[in-house]
Amino acid sequence: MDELDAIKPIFFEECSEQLVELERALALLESGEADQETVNCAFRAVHSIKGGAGSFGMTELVRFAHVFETALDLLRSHKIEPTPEVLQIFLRATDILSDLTAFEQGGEAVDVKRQQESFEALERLFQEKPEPEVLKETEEEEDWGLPEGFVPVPVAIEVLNEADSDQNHVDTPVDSTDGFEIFDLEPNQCVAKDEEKKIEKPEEIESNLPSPSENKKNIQPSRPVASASNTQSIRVDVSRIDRLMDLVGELVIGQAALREVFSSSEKKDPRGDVGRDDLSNAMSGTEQLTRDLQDAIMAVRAQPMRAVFQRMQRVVREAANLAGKKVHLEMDGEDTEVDRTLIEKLTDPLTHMLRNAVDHGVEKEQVRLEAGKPATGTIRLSAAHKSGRVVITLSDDGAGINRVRVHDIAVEKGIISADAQLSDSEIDNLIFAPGFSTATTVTDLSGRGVGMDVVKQAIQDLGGRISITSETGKGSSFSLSLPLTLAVMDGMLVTVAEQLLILPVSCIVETMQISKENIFVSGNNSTVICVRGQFIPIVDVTKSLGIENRKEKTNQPVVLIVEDDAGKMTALAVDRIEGQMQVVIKSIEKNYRSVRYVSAATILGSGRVALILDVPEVAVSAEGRMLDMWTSKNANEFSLECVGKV
Amino acid sequence: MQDNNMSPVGSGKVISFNVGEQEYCVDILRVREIRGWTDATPLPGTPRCIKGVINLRGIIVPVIDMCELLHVSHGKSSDRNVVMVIDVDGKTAGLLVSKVSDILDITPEMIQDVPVSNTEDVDPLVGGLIAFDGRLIGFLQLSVVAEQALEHVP
Repeated sequence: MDELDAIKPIFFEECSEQLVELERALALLESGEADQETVNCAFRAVHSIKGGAGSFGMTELVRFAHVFETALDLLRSHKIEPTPEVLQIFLRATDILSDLTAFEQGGEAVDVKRQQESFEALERLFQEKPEPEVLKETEEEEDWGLPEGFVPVPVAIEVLNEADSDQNHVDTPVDSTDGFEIFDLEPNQCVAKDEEKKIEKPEEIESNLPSPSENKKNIQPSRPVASASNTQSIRVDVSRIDRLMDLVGELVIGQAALREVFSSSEKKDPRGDVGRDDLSNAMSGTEQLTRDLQDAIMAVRAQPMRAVFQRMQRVVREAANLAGKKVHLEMDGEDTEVDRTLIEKLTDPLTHMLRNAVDHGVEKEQVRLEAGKPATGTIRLSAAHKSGRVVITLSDDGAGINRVRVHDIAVEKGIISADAQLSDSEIDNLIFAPGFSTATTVTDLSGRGVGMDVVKQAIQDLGGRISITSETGKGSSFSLSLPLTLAVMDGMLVTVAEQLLILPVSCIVETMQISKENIFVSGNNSTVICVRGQFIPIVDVTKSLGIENRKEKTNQPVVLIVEDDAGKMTALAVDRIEGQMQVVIKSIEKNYRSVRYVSAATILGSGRVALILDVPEVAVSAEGRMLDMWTSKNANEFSLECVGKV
Repeated sequence: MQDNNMSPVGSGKVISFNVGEQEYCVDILRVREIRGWTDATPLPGTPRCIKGVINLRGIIVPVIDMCELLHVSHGKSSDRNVVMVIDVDGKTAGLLVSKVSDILDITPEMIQDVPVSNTEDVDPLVGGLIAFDGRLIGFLQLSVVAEQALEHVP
């Protein structure tokens, strides 16, 4: 059992790969680009899941995969055609299959009703077909070796039903050659012939083995995850590992070269003036190598977006079903590679955005036809690399943003004032404002209390930006721009009360020096800066962080204008900007706990730790609102100083 | 009072160090390394006993000022101030101490209970007392140190 537990994670990983393959094959079938190999591919995917599940005694999964496989087999042997109806059944079955694997992994329990529906739909597919006896006469032996005249599903179910405590040895196919054994045996014969393959825990099977008609109440919603350790693994192209190895080799040589130059320059001239050029050459060689190494290791961690994108097919499918709309999802650039952490964290925001697009973007069939559009709405999801970032676009051909309504709702919810004059793009961006939701009723689909503001926050947490363009009657398009990795980011190095701090460059809109006439103290005891006619609150980073003993006479302060999740600007006052650099993100939580106003830390060239500011949190901090030095009392004094310098 | 956690069974050795004028010790197996004092980067909104974070070969490690934690007055800071890097509850932390003095052989019998006074609660930081060579050495409970210093949110 221990050995099985050890390989279980590998099985689940394979499952998810197979599910992606399956989904892809079905998508191809749907678009009519499929050939025989595509169908084979889908069949193989389900078959391997079944085989693997059998070895682990995941009865429910085996049972379902088996019916699914049988139905796919009919497609493979051209006994049924891939009509949209049939594909619908398959797609739904794919979802169930994926749920079942997720459940085995310790996820949520599967919706029994849906599973049953899907199961029966699959069954109907081959029950509607001529009797097996008829097949026997008309069909020659199939090349894939399926025994003639099998009656697949009833047998399989009976096998499982009969698996009582003393007869529960279900044959567990592990490869394609013995995969069909189960079909041609009488139920009573379906006893494990191979003792080693038999499922070892009879009582477990019993509890998980109600007949399909029964309600599966006795399945525990979250079975403990089988794997003892939570180690994750990725599959990496060997050539990438080789590249890494080569670079490490070069680095070793480079280091030796550096040492060589160093010692020879010392010999030539003890004062070390002469060897300087050689030294700096060797240095820049090492620098180049370091950069290459960084790229190489990032390539190892990179994974194609396909993993997320394929999951989105299902999201759209289910959302469209719920909303009663016809929606087709087109995908492009699935092979675009990004860091795996990013892939994991993109799933939720993308799911939400797609649901929104189905719910709010694409119109109902009737409305679409009246507008002269095809009945089926199209949502395009694409990914591409653009200047060192990943750009994901999600566009629909729906109605676009109803600006009048958005404006009204924003006024109603107090997000903007009634007489505010906003440009079209400003109105479009209101949908990202916290607490904004256009759906008048809370639908099952979107509007669960989280809105686009959550999406925006999630994207910003990843160091990304999100923007929207919309054209009335033609649709809307969201564009996400994300860094390639979460391990390294562009940081702005600033000094605050003698301390070096890092701000993510991605959130900084602009930087400027403060001059006297732009500073105002507003009524509620806070300071604002006027930038091109717009008043922006100033937050003193020193005070937010509670740094004591600030020297009174700092250099002329600088403000960094940052944008928070609601698109609201805040000016962060710091003492000095030191420059921009790439920083490696290090966790503070790992050995300590999360610290307010600090999102992470990094290590500077000097070996010192510098904190990375949690900009959205600092921006709303109350402590920093008031700048001592700019209160009415000494504002004058300060301004004079400023004027002198400008 | 004596539990497995505090008795230095396994190694039988403890490292003793000074915090201000007082002397304490920890199980030697819990100490990963001892480093000279380098300036820590202070963290906002943390208790006084957290000196800040330092870079330990690419890992961010919090440093606990033992003088603050044990409410001992700071002695003169000298170049003998060191950071003892310890492993506790799966985390790594640094303890800033005045100086490291000794490695001692200890048997569990040598650890005495902390006398209970009527007026004050026993400080759980110190799990026991060791009389050694005419000195009084407090045996520190590292898990309590971690709990009080690292998890406490002011």
